[in-house]
Amino acid sequence: MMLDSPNFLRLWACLLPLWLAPLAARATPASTPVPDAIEAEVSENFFHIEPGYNGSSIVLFGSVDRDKLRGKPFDVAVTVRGPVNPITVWKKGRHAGLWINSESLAFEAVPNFYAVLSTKPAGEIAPLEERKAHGIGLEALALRPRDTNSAAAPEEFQQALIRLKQSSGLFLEQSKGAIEFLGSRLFRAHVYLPASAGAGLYRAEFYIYQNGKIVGETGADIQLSKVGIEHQLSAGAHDFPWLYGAAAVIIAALTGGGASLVFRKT
Amino acid sequence: MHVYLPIADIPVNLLLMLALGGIVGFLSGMFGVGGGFLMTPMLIFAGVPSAVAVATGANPLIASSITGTIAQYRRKNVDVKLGLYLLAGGAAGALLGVQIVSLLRRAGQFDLAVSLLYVVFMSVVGGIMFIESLRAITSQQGSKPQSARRREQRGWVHALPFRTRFKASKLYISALPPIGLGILVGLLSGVMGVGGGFVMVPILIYVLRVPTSLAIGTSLFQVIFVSAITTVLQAVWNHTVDIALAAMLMVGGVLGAQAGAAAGQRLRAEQLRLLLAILVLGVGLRLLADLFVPAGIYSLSRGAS
Repeated sequence: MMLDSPNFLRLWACLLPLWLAPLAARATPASTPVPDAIEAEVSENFFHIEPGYNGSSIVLFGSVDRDKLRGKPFDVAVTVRGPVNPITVWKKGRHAGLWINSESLAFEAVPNFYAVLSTKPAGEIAPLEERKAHGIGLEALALRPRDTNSAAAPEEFQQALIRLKQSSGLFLEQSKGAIEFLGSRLFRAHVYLPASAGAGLYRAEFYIYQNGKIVGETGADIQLSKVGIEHQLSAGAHDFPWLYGAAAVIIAALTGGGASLVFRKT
Repeated sequence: MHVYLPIADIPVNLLLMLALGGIVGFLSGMFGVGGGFLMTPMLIFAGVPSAVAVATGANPLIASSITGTIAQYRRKNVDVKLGLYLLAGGAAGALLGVQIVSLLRRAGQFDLAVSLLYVVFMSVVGGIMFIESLRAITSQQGSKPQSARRREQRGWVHALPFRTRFKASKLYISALPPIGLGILVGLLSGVMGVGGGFVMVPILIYVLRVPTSLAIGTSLFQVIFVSAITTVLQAVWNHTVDIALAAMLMVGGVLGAQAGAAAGQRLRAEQLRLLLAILVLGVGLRLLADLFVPAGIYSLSRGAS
């Protein structure tokens, strides 16, 4: 689907009376939710992991109805996050000169991939407390640390987790130039999902902020799934482990036996 | 060109994996012994998660040890009876090893255990190979050093009960040392993803006094089965065998083994053995350095333990 400008002009024309009506009526506070202030989609809802898979490029696009926002300044934030799993963070300690994993903290709900793109740095769009509800910005993520007797602060482990995820390209936060406006309404953003992000359900969320409050939001699902041989092998390894192991042995035996037959003649 | 690994969940470079299998196959074709102990650390350096590297490392060894055993069997260099005794121990050891892997993974100490084992074995094996090859190169002009000493010594191995005759190896020894050796090698196979030839062959030669040619053939014979058992157990217990990765390594491996066998007949083995020793020591040192100067204090593991 392409959103071209003539369509938007027509839409804008249709909405003209609606736009005029509130002006005549009363002035409402800017933070009141504005229905349909944002409409958005992702370039593709389904991505397939095939043998040659090496990451996906996701284009996120949408439009902001400036009229419904009464022309007042606003910010757009987009998050893409996917398969949530428990993850344990290990901290090495020095024992007899060797660095050995000695402390750990498990987090219950860590998205394997998390990206936040916004028109301004997340901290400038809204205060931290406000962003925590939707997890907008790396420091606003609720990763749910487990109760621990460890002396070390959970924040220390959480920061380490975020740093490690960032360095492997699985957590990212971008603002400068991350959301590109094409004209006054239409915007476009781009997220690269590295291959190591893995199969699962991802969700793109789009938010409009005014005066530090969300006034509009929408979202779209992105399904990344293994197909064909990738799916069969991955499912087989878990569903039929004995058969899978036997297959691995037989393939190797045939390869070895075949090689001695082939190379004996030459 | 990249191939997405269905179990490791990462893409790897096809040519790199073929080359890696090829190098390991080349070494085993040339020296007759393993090379599997280089596979797992190289896979880990290439970014494969250690659990997948260890579980998958044993799988291609089945292919290369079958090829090797067939060649050795034609030259009557396999003591099948001794191999079966080693195998009995090997099966038990592999079973134990795979469960130790599960346990260590849950405790978060698996990477450490694998690194430590590799550091120890690679410095010992690399060091011995380095000294032996240096000695061989320097003493090439002179006469061969002492080799008659071997058969005269009757160590503790010969004092044990349950004596059994191993005809092909011309041995009449207790059945316990072969079984014990098998358990040790099976354990290593399960925990480190190696065939264990690099540990088994020296022990067969120096401790059990098996003739060198038979030691290599018999070790290859039992590596087939221990690797097969390890592969199945890893698949069932840990779900970490990556068939796609194994297939690439295996294809590289059988081609490399042929090239290695051909090259071994033309090239000077001592100098190559010295190079291999340096390579082994280098990999061992790199792993050792990681233990003392880690890349980072924090690391992540899947799941909540």
